[in-house]
Amino acid sequence: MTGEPGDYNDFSKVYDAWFPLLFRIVYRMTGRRDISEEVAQEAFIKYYERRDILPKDEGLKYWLIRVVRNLALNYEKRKGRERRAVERHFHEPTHETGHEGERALVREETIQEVQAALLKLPYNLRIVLILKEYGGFAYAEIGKMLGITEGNVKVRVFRARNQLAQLLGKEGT
Amino acid sequence: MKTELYLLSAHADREVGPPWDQEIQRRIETDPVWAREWQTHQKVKAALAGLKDPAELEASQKQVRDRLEAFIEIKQNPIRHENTRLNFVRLLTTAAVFGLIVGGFGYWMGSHAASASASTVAEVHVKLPANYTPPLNGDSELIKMTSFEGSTR
Repeated sequence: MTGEPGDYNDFSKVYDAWFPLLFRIVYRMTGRRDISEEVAQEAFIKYYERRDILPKDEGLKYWLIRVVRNLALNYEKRKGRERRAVERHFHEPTHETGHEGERALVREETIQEVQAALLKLPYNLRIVLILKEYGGFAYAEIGKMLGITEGNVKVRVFRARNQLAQLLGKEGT
Repeated sequence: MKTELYLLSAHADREVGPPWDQEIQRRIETDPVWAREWQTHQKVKAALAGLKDPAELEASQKQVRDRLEAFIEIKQNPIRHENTRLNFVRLLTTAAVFGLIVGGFGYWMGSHAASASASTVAEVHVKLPANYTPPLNGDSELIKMTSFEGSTR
């Protein structure tokens, strides 16, 4: 991983080292800049308040990832509750029904289409795929961060890519 | 075998070591199902790789840093009121004076209150004629007399 600081006691260095990674992960998870800023900010506030007792090595990186993972999950749950509340009130679904089910091959996708497809993945598949693709973590590291086995990570990455392929119409012929 | 297909994804991520990586490569080259799945995963990886860092990354990093610096500043230098101690003394004094006033009023009220309790009995010593029987209730208490019986005094 690039950007690892030599002195973990320096809050500013830790911030500069890990903010891009955390922001990138949350942005891919939520698709929202404001949520990504809020989650990253909250993670660093928690770090600041606990910096004296937190690990100073690789453990800090995993701790930060777990914090943003949990905060992003809370956002996900809140978003789901709000969407269900709207659906109950207006008696109609609110999720997009754009390209779901279409099998047409798409040669060039816009960034928005890929991001939108990512957001449609179930949370537990999306998080492992994003940690792999945008965090650059090994399967073993992802398993450690999420509290699952390496084998479980492999299966989830496989399923995530398969579902994403269906959403993007990229299934091979 | 379909149950091992999930290893294709790991193979694409170079997460499969020897000798399984060679076996997977062989199946990709010889099995059409594996070949199709391999193509799918490669295309998905390429699509995901096309998502660059969000353009807002730098601006967001600066914005969040500014907020955190303000947060840390407040944490390290909490706002202190110059008259905090004096205000506390004032509050205590006011509470004490108020308590005295309320307590004194309550005591005054209590000392002038007429008891309406039926169980409170005033002891009165009177001289009555020998043949006079004062009306008493079941608790041997004098029943209130509504007329002045002058002849019996």
